[in-house]
Amino acid sequence: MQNLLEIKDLNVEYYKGGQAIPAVRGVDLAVKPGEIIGLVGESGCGKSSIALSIMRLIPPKQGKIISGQILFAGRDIVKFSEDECRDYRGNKIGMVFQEAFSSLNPVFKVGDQIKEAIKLHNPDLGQEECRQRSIDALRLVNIPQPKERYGSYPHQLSGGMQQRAMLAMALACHPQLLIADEPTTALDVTIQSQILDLLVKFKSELTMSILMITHNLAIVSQIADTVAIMYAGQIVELASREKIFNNPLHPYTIGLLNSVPDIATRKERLVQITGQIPDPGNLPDGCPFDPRCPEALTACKDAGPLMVEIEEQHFVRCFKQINVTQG
Amino acid sequence: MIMADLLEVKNLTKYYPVEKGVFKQSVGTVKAIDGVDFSIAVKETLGLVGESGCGKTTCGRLIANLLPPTGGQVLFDDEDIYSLRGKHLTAFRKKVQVLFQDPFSSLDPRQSIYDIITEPIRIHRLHNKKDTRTKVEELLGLVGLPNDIVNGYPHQLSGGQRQRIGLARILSLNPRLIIADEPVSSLDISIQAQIINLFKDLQQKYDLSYLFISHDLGVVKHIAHRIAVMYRGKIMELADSEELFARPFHPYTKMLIQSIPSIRTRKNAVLAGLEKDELPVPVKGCAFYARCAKAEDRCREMVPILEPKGEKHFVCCWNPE
Ligand SMILES: Nc1ncnc2c1ncn2[C@@H]1O[C@H](COP(=O)(O)OP(=O)(O)OP(=O)(O)O)[C@@H](O)[C@H]1O
Ligand SMILES: Nc1ncnc2c1ncn2[C@@H]1O[C@H](COP(=O)(O)OP(=O)(O)OP(=O)(O)O)[C@@H](O)[C@H]1O
Ligand SMILES: [Mg+2]
Ligand SMILES: [Mg+2]
Repeated sequence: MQNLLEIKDLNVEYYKGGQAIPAVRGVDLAVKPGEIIGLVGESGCGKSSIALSIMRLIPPKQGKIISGQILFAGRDIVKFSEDECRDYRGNKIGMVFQEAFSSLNPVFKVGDQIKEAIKLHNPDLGQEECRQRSIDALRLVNIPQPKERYGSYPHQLSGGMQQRAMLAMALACHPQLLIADEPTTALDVTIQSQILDLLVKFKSELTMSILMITHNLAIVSQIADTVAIMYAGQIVELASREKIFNNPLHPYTIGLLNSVPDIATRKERLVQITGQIPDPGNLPDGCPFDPRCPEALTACKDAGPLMVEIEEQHFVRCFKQINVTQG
Repeated sequence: MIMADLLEVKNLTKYYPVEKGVFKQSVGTVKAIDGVDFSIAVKETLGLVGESGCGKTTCGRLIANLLPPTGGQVLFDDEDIYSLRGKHLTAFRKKVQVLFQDPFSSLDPRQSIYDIITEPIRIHRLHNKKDTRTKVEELLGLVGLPNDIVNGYPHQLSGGQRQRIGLARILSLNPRLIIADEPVSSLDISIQAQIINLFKDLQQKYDLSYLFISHDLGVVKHIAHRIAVMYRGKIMELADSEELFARPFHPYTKMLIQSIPSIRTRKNAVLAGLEKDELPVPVKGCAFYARCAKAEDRCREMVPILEPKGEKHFVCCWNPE
């Protein structure tokens, strides 16, 4: 199947005190129509930067796409003019931002904001029809009493309601690709499950593709077709959901899976991956995970490993795994 | 070991008017908090859980005295916090700190990280310039951030880093009670574990108490000594953590426990009884009535009250089992 989105060798940098900070380093990622990709990784590894690159929303004074291509239905978004970007945003690619509250406008009613988004993307619809669709959108994301809530201002909604209102706005425009950056962090499991079911419904009924950015492996295990594990600006493991959960190969992925709090046991201390992610302005020469890696080899200090297809459709960036397969 | 009560909440309520039209006619009320009682001891962590919109943030803000209540009382060190004035109020504002739900909008984008962390120190005039530097380094060490981060601005940080800055900032005041509103829900799991462990270490070190607000029972289980389960502004069940998981009485608590997803079993959350807009807000009777599988006639007619059911275990249900 033709890819809807294809990211090729994407590099993103930010500027900090005159220094260039590499936040995304040579990322390749493809999304098929109707596919849900889970992009997982520790805070600061560059997930949102990928999302913002696809939307062409990296703040110009703060950073930029250094190189690479982002092909959407065959056209390179990186080369788009500002007008073309505007046409894509919302219409073809919808996004739920990580910071739900700051992306809602505090001075307008939530329902009106959704209505405006619908109107913008469907100029032929009448005001009343747009209003009705806005209420439907709020109902769809399970906001109780949507008619009454239409008139609420963002600060009058709880954290989880704001997050759902953002999602309602993105979905109301029926995008081909939805980028959802931590869309359910403020939601409890029952509402979260309803939202995930809703996303799956959009995926199967409208073949909407989803790039689901999250730190929550439980979410990924529920809905993702493919999982990409990210570390220090790179994708370090990429495979189907089944392979990632049943046969994780990268020591970092294994560490992540082990640190999930398990309800069956109450541990005095939670298992954590020791150490911290490297400062992106000061990356080690070798594998960026080396300082924290329980399985590090001497080779890992000298150079970063390349992405290798260890088994069919299972890609890993790790010297140890490369050694294992090469005998 | 749990010591004396630090905080006592008595019959606390907060109603918001629902307004309509240009003249802001009041057309009803949202009962965000509806008669809540609980206490928090010195060095204790009380977990407050419940679904989105049930009133957790409102409850936290009321206790921090950031919002006037509609009714009820909150005692901190046996003093009514809503009657505190002048220097007593200032002292209270140091002792009780809030870590806000949204790490993005809670940090001022125009301030440098250094200014953000040191703002409380400046407001309360705690240290001179040189000591402040040292203090900042100590605080950053506590929350696991490198020293040079202070020269940057919030937009340069990822979500997780911002939340740790928020924590460093409030720790500068040596608070006694921290109201942590979903402090880890926007963090990735490895950092969640680090922060929860950090919360525990800080508690041991400084005899801190926490009101730990979360929608995630799985997380709360790892940190709270006791857990209060809230539904539509009311506490439905309150018990020791272990006890609550071992012997949940309230149908809502049971539902919450069952719906915790696990990557081991990869089960889906239980979708029993959804919060839908068709569900009317009951004028009388139990708030959970419409979603309850065990509901009887009296549940529709009479409001249940939070009553003891076993040792230090309280349930608000006509039909607990
Ligand atoms: N506007 C900016 N200016 C400077 N540095 C930035 C900026 N935005 C992000 N960064 C840096 O780039 C790196 C990647 O950030 P990004 O927000 O993409 O991470 P993330 O994976 O989304 O993290 P989180 O899970 O915490 O949201 C981080 O080190 C961050 O500090
Ligand atoms: N300023 C306000 N004006 C009107 N209604 C409000 C206001 N603040 C909160 N509410 C309402 O009070 C109820 C409780 O909100 P609250 O923010 O306390 O919920 P919460 O439990 O923290 O939810 P979440 O988990 O989604 O953050 C919600 O119905 C909300 O819309
Ligand atoms: Mg992010
Ligand atoms: Mg809240």
